Amino acid sequence: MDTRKNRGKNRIVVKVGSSILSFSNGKINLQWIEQLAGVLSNVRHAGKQVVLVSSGAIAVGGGLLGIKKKPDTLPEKQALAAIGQAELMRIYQRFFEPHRQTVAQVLLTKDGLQEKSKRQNAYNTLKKLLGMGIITIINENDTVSTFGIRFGNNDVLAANVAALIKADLLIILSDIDGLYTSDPRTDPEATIIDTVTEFSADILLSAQGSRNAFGTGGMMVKLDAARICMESGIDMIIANGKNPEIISDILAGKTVGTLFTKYYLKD
Amino acid sequence: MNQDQKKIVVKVEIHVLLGEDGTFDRARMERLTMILSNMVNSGAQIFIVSSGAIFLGAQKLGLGDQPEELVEKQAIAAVGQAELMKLYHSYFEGYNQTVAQVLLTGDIFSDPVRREYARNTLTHLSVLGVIPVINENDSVSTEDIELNDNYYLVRNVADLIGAHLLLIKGKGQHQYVLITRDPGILPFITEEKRLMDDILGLKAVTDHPGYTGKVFPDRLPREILQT
Repeated sequence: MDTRKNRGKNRIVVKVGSSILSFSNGKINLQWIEQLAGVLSNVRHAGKQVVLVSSGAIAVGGGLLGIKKKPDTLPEKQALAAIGQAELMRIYQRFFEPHRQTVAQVLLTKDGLQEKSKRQNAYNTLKKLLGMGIITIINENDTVSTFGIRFGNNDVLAANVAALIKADLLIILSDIDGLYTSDPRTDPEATIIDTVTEFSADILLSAQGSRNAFGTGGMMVKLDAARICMESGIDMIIANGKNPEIISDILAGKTVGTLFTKYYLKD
Repeated sequence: MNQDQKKIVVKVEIHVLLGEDGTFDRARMERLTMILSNMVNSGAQIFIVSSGAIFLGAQKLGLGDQPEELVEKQAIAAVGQAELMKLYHSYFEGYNQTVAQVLLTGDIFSDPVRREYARNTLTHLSVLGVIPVINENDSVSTEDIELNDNYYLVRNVADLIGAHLLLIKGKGQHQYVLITRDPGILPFITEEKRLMDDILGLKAVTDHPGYTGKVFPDRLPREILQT
């Protein structure tokens, strides 16, 4: 059913999390990235502008050094991110290349999006890249990000990027189907909430009850991202990205995942 | 000499890696990465500060001229930085070295907390035996693009980790200069100098191969700048 008016949306930010682009053993899912590159290149062919916010640097860095255990300490994480980010870009380049789609890398920090002159610089760069038809792949600049001045997760980073470039839509691809009314593992009656138009106590309760509620990319964090989008006049969709083709479905207006509709700012 | 004294920030200008016709010279890159890998094998900790993101980005996009407008440079650097890392990765891989990308902005050095984080990351990479390839985060900062030379960044990195500086300069005759806090490093570098002379065709900027001093100069001495 084509109930959502996503067809006319031209500037799209897609966020992919580690859980979706890597296997449970932490290794990167190459085939998934290959499919994603195909889908996003096709979205570009349709004349739309695309920005990709991608996690995965630490996972890729660990794989490159043959480290099996997840890093605990911050310097370890930052070092692995520095090693893995370049490798992650190489993987993306490899899979975008057959589609003749050029990619760019932009690493952002929280203060880089808050401080006025840096924000302006980031905006100028991204706008220029969009105009050149390049898909920019964004991640947090983990090597220099410190506690307190860190986004800490890419959902909120993606929402801030969407707000910065005045995107029409943010698509968050995750390993969950959307926002459920309650925890689907324990409640057989749980159903996906189709559309959220405003934050109510019910919505927050649903999110708290959901799987991985408080993980780095848990549902509560996704609600933070949704709030930023809605208040910035941007629609946001949370959907299951197991198959990247879901992006095409979303842009065709099919009802998948949970849509958070933008607030229409009153004069 | 203990390991700490062999921390060396190597500044690589993209021009060093270009042949006479102005295109990328694979043989030079091969030799440079060989020499640097050899320095690592001999117990040195190498930190590369490399330019080239804009050059490689323009090449990747098939642009004939190097960009002049600031925003264009920033966008092209975002394309080229990934290319630059790919290049270092593919050449160092042959010598069994792993590289990491560290993008810094100038304000990091004036903030004590962020300095500490940047130092921790760089130190930890060294502990892992990885070679950091450092550059200015051009897409959000404009300092070095405006200054057109990474010297400010290089000096700050060397100060941050207490390293010596080895500048490899390009355009015309390829030259290098060592700026060191500790003359004790000179015999080590002199050994490598032979390799550089023989293989890279590098010439020392002055007869005296190293400038020494506890504090690095704010600006490069004129005779170095002019080469």
